[in-house]
Amino acid sequence: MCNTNTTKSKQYLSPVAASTLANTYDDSCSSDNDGVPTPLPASPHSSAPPSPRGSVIGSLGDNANISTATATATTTTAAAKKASSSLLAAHDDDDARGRLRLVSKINYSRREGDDPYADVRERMEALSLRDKSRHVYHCQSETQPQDDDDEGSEKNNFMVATPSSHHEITIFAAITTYLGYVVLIVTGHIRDVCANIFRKGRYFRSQSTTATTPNPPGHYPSDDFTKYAPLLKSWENFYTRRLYHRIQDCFNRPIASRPSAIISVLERVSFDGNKTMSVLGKLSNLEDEKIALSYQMGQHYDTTPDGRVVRKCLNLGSYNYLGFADDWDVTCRKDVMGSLDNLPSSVGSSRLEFGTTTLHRRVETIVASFVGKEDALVLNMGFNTNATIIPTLTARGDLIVSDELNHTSIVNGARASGAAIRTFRHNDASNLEFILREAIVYGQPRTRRPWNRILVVVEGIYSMEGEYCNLRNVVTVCKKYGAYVYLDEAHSIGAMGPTGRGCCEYTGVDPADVDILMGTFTKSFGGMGGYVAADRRIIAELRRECAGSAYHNSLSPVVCQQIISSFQVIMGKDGTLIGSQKLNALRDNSNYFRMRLTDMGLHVLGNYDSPIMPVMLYNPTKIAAFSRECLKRGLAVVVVGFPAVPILMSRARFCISAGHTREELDRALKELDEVADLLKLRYARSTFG
Amino acid sequence: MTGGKFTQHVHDLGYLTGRSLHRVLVRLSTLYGDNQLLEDHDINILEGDSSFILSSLPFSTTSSTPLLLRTLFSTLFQFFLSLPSRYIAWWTSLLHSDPLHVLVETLLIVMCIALVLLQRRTDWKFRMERKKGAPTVEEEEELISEWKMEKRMALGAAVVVVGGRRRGRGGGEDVRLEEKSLGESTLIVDKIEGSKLFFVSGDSKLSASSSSSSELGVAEVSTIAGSSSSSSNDTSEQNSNIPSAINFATFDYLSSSSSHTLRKVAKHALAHYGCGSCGPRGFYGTIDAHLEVEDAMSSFLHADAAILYSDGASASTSTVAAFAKRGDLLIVDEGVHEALLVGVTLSRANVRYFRHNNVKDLRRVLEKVAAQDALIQRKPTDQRRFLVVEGLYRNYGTICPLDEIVKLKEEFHYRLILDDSYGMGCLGKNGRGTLEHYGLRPMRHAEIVTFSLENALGSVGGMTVGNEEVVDHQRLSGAGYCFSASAPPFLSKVCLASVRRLEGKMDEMMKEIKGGGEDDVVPKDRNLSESTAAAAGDWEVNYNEMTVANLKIELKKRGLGVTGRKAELQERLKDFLTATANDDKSASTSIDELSGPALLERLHQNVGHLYRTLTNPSHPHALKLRNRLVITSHPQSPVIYLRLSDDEAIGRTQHEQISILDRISHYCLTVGKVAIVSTGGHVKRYLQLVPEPGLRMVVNVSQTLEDVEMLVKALGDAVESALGDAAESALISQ
Repeated sequence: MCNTNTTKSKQYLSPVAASTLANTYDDSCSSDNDGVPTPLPASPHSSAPPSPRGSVIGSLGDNANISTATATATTTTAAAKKASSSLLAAHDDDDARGRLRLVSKINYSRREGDDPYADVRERMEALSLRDKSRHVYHCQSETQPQDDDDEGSEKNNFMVATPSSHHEITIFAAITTYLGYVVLIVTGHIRDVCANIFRKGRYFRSQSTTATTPNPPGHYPSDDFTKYAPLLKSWENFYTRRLYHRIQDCFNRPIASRPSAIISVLERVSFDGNKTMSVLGKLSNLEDEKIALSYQMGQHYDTTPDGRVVRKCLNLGSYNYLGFADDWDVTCRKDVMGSLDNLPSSVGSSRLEFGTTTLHRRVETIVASFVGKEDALVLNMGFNTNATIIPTLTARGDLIVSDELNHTSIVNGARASGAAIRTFRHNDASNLEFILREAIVYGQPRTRRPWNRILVVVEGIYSMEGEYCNLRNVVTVCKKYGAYVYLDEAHSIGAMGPTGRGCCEYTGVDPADVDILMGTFTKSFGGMGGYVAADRRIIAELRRECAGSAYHNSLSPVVCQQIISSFQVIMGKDGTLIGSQKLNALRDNSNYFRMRLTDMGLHVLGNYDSPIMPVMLYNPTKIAAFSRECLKRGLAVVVVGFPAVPILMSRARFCISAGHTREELDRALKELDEVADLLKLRYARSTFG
Repeated sequence: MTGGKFTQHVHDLGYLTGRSLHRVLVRLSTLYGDNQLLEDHDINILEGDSSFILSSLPFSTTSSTPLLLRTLFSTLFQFFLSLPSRYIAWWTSLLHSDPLHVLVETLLIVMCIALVLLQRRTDWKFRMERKKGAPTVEEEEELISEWKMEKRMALGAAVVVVGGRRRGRGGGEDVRLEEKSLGESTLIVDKIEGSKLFFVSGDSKLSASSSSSSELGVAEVSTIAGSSSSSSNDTSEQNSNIPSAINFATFDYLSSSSSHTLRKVAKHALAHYGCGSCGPRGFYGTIDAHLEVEDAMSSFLHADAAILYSDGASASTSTVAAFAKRGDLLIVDEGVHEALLVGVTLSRANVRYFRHNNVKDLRRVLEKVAAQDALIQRKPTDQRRFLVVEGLYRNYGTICPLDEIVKLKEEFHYRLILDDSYGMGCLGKNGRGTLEHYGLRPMRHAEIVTFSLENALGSVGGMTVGNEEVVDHQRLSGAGYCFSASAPPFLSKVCLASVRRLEGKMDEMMKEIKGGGEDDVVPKDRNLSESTAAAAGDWEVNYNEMTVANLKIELKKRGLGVTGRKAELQERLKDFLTATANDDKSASTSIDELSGPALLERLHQNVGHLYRTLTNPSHPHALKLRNRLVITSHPQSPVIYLRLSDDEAIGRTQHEQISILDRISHYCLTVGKVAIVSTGGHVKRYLQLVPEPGLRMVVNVSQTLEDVEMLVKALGDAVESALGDAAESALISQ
């Protein structure tokens, strides 16, 4: 049945639709469409593997399938439309679940054999579509008219069952979090006071001893606080001593292996109450045999070839998105080793002088063609790329409008540039528009001269939020006002979009509309360094004028080769399908993990299709507890506390990789379920967690 | 005033209010006919005003709702009417008994009201004005489109250079070379071997400008599919076609880039760790290799601890910014390089500059600060104070007079931040940098020492050493440490090997690597056809276990005599093999055999030799440089700067000077086959003091006497071709 007034959905393959936000609707409908009103996103590139669903179904050799007739795609699209809405309700609704199963049987049976997620494929795709339609295309399905009762109820279910992606901290959590900090701070102060009274303590620096013994070992002239100001200010120092050191064991955990899916975390011990941590090393270093035995009895106990005690953990923390650390021997080893025949690991010169090797040029050409720009410049460090490119692009008289959650490197670069800086609310294009409008109308403060340039800086995926950028609207607004767009794809390049081309591809924005594309090779490519891609003229200017190119030493040629090799894999130029498999696996793994985490009732931030998923912990004590409990269960997780995130918003962050298998993720989820019970983390389900 | 009275008044007020309320309550209860309440409760309260209530009592039985309400309202009304009078009564009595209290309280209340109202009023005013003066939507649109069309500058267009004090000859003008004249900037290095750099072959590529380089890139894209190993094989055959030059350009003092042992270490580490670390240090990006190199470096430099950054420049930047904060004081040498200066800027501390390497000027600045302290009675402990200097200045080749600076710092109680990026590994007897050069120690004489691993140590990254406090603080506050991915572990291993090399313990490290043997592990799914492996297998012929026949075959293959007893044959083969191995390696890897102080001695010899040759009055080629180029760097510095002499520079704009120097460096490269760098065209906007345009040569250990001769000859010829014959120009000038 054909219900044109209710099926106001976009067709996947419509390139027309891609050019507008949500204005053009396609009236096409298919035979079994009963008018479920979920608007579906337009495909960004008609040439690229068109539907996100298409790109994930096949894990092997599915490209032919994807690029087959549009007609079939339309059919499946319509089915997916139905599925997407019904599935969202499925969690609570038995009836819907029943129907769902039916749909899944029809559409996905063909791939069940090689698809590890066949049983949940429907729901994952639906959720991913929902997030994409909301956060990329901004279609609010709730506004669609309804004429069918049954459909109406389903729609209501859809609305109810859809958890808001923006979680607010519950009052209970806020209060307990503040309380936690108060207790910690008060305790810390009491301990400081006691240390001063008793003249004894881990952190008690004996300032007065300099008077009695002029130069005791380990004492330096600058330790004399009667003449020198203390090196560290009290609050910074207090935070480090009394808050950070308590949970120091949760950070900087050293590993003795590649950052692959399974890592060997070196066991550490502290002999001074967590003030310093040292690697345990061999088991024989332990004097107490009981403790040694308890290590050995541990479920995840292992040793390195030279006998150091390690814990085999599932790595949920590294930015190894495409899993190049896992299969490095197969994909990159040969070429990377080969690069050392001619070139050293470091050239010892800047790019502008003699630091440009053939490999650097090759990386630049590949990057430029990969992201769709005329030219690119490759620098040694991702952080430094931002920190030196932004000051080159802007100067006094320019305005930098930056997302409030932008990375420190962008902040550093903006501050070093001398340009004026304004921030807009995270991912809020209307706030951006307001700021741009006002900036142009009122000009520079005091002098009221017009700004020379306005540069809007956004990130592709925000690494602490797991959200992708509202790029379409940002670009639309910037185009309207003539501001330049600087997109930092540190986390999104290679990890988003059907072919890994990042945020532009995913959101269907023409790379030509983004003036500067920046990204790093640390994450998806398993290398190091950063690139900036733009028009040839701009890159030529940057080559000459950017400190990173003129003064700083160039990227290691070996790393360049690593980048080239990984690009070849991603682009499929190595003659295998490993690249597309990796991309599909990354997307599936992260969507599955996110879905299951959300089902558990955890506060999960971010959007589907993003490999980063922060889970809110809130309470400072839960940071340590979560990390330790997970490590105990053989999960290496990242927890993030105050300096990196707002004081209330402590979180754990999972980074999913293409190297994970479903079995590993299921094991992790099982353990996490236990930990969530233990620590009362289900904030999405109840106020009290 | 008496508190008792006040309490009494409060009590009175409360009593009165309570009584009134009670009356209302009682009245209500009567209206509802619940007389019980009236009887049960204290009737005395009602005495004063009971007539009204009592009069209304008869109605209660026949009460209707309107009446009830009316009475209720009248009661309330009466009560509220009586409130002001009662309050006034209470207030006047209070005024009489306790006037001060009233005054204070009134003032407070007035202030509160004033604060609230005035605040809002200014806000309103502001908003109103804003609204009145604001452009209409149409006007706004007009402004926006106008800005977009006309006023907006293009991205990457000329940036107005702001800041940066310029001194020295011709320093004031802002030279902006539209056509980049740095010939070498577009050179693409293809291979580094010994003291030579090999460039991508083909004349077109040699002179390729940046605009055409992308076309070159397109050509390369098509060949990407061909694996690099095959291309490397090609290059070895085409060596004769590849333009090469002797390397006087990279900061590779110890020739780490051409060291085969370091490459072996890199390969070994790559086999174990893969390439990237895939995360910042905090989040599972700490790999044991990082800890190892931190330990090794801190013990090498006799410091308590060390922290590893993944980029040399960001190590300098982050270190300064981690310690100096707003309100602190930094006394900075104006000649510091860009990365350090960015750190100074980012710290937002108060900054004072002193003249480059001028201890007198430093003293003047320090005394000025001290005088100011005395004036405003500020204690030196109120502010963190740092001196920021470089050990060996990148842009000048000068060595910081650390001994005197340390004296000053101790006299005035400053801490010292030393950036030894360019001095580490080349100054001092053991390569411990500028501190060792002056016989000083880190931590005691320089609290914070930061340096890059990219120059002498042949790795990529940076480090800061100091006491535990210094290092631990950076692990949370060093922006480049916290927020950036850690260095690839193989680079840390290379750095570790470099440290071992400086310590003279290279052999032990190589033994470890051999012991591990992971280098030779060939992955199952790919057959590694590394040429090195094959070569290694070739000369590791196991002559001890060979039969006589096999020995003879092997000997015959190599064109040796095949007569004699087995032992003789073995001996012969062994001699040959070791000899050829040495022959193969001697050219390129003799550097590898040097380590520890011997390595440094070689470097210092080379520096001395180049310096002597350049200043030798009887050298035929050095003579050509006389009075035309002058050396501005320190005699012991491996970084040698030449600039035009005053005679030559006078009457030339900076632009002309730069183009002359560019021509010299280009001539050296194309004709003399010597790579040196002309620094005039470098970007200047990030520097406090812009150095004069110059030529930079860097000495490294693998350069031979012939190399130096070639350099001096090339320089002499280049100067002649760029500036004309000396005698001629002298005639012209006369």
